[in-house]
Amino acid sequence: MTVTMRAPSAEAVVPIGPFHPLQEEPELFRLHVDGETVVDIEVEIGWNHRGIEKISEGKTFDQVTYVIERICGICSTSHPIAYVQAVEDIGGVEVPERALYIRSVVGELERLHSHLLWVGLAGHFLGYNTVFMWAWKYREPLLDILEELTGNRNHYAMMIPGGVRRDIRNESIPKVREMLDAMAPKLEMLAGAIIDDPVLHARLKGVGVLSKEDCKAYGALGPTSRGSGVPGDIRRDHPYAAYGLVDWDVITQESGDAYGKGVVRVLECFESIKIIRGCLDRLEQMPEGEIDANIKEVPPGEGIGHHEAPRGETFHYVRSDGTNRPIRHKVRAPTFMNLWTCKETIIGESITDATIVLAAIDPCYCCTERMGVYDADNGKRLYDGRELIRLSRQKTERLRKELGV
Amino acid sequence: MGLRLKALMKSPWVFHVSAGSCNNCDIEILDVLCPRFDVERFGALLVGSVRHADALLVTGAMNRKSARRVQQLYQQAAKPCLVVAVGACACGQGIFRDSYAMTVPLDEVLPPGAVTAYVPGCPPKPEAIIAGIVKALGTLSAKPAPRPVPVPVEERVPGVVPSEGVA
Amino acid sequence: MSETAVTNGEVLRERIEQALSAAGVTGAFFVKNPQRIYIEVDPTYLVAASRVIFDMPGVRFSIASGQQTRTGFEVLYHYGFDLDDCVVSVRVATTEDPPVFDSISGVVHCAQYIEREMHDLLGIAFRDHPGLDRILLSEDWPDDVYPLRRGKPWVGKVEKRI
Repeated sequence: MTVTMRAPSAEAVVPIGPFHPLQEEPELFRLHVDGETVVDIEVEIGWNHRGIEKISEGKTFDQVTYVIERICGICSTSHPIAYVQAVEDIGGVEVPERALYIRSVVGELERLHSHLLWVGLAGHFLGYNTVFMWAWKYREPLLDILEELTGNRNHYAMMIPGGVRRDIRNESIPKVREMLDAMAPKLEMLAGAIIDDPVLHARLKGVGVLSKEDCKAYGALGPTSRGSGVPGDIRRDHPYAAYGLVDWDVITQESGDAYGKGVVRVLECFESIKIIRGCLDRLEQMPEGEIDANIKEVPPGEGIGHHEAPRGETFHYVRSDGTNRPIRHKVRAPTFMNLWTCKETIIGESITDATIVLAAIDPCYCCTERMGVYDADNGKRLYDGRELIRLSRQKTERLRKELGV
Repeated sequence: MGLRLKALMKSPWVFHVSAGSCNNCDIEILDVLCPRFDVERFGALLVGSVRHADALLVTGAMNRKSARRVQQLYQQAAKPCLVVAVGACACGQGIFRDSYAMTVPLDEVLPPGAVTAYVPGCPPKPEAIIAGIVKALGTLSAKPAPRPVPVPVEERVPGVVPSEGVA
Repeated sequence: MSETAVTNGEVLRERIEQALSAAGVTGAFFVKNPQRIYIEVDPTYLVAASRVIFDMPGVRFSIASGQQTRTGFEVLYHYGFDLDDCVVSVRVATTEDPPVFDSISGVVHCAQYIEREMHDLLGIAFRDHPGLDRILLSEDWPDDVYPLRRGKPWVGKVEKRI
């Protein structure tokens, strides 16, 4: 399980070749290959480092929510949900029940949009461009509903320490139900297309396997670990918001490969729909209005909040000294734990599978385009990210022909 | 209008680069390609290499690690290359302006006058992004607008004494 | 908070306390509520305490939070006890500058990345770490400027223009 990181030598990093005019292209993943097999991978992060933890120390507790929403555009509300719970944990604030249901509704709508986005991107890497177009097309009504409920397609600004900023009015609830009813059969069709496709089975099963032991060693989270049979889900294990108040199941798969991780994400969409429906039923029965505990001040102390984001646990630690700003705000996005599992899952795989193994972790999409492949012996740069996607699609085509589909 | 410009306006090839962004603007840019907005029917295409690009869509607040990349990419693009700053971060660094990890805004990273259009928003709606690209393309054929005459600061803010270097 | 809830917090606390003392480690416990337990240990016991806690069933390493305090530096290692609905945080503190702790990456493999981040941003060093290279800051960031330390230590020392 120990991985020795090969120190980047001078020749391994210099890209050569007429096809790569961008001489010093910075790369997130540098794959070292022997023939077609990956023998080593270097990961370099920091491309999106914006110094948010320091910015937090200069903002008031309310203002911080809007900054950390913008940590990630895809799991936009996951960070605020974890953060406001951390602030509430400092003083032990009791959040009104209506706000808890609203938090879950927004969190699950976001999970739906994020998983659909992932399905689209995975389709793009594998050469299923229709899946890409369908998945992103089905996202649109979802984003419209989010705009109706929160005011924006992304970056909803719904969470505040003590509650939520906006109520879900009873007039909006039938529209949400209508959208879910229209989406469910389309999701089923998409799920069937993915889960039953023999080409995808041949393409993804056994590829990029992550064992349970490695999940523990790397602190893997979310679908990345649930795909390996680790039944951890913050919503069930550490109940918060309305997750302990409605009925739903944790989805796991046992295989640990890219196929398993994909199936977990697809099946979780149906659980999300269940949760949203359950929350909407309760919201309709409750009187409107009580959505904010109206915190006047945050006492000195420390608090921890976490949330099951679409990619895994977002973890926030906030320390206060009794003033109106945090003196320390530690933010940990799930990809910070999941990213390094690629050292276990990609070594030994073929470069044609590189993009899908890395995409199965579900990192931020534009990072997977910054990939470079180097010859392990002479350090010559062989491929870039776009060429890897092309190789991946070619393999799918080949399998399709072999299976006669 | 030359043939090349005509072709460019009919079918702009667009390269997308991100320098320290939260990816939300990036997703909305991809969204612009998808069935609801579908700019491909207008001929706009997302290309894989900056050398083939007529337009550069830049997102992100220009953090230290990535800002250099934007500079290099702009240098490699064939001119004229329209640069569209998409999102509040690309327009002026937005809420990340005071962070230690940031450098200067996009219009100082690139040569003066390089940025053709600014599309503010966090994230801007796909309709706004399309409008921004169309406006940027429109600048190619239109006569250059007269440069605005800078208003002295004493007239803008009565009572303020201008310091060194402030227009 | 009901009586039973407080008892649950105490039950887990006793389990951890027994496991730690079996390994010869003592710690100061603070049960904030059944979902949050904080344990302060002396830095010499850090690796042993981490081994005991990480080996308990259903435990996952969440992350570590390094910070500069009024008196020095502190690191909190957060563990998710997924079978017990609790987050247990192990705290170590020092008044030295530069601050040094033992690396727990021999016990918790993935801790090496957050230790690199704490070194990059706060200047906390970790003994026996496989490689404390830069992880978040750019290559041209000066060596002795730690952005997360109190105040604005980078202003005047780091040029904004690239």
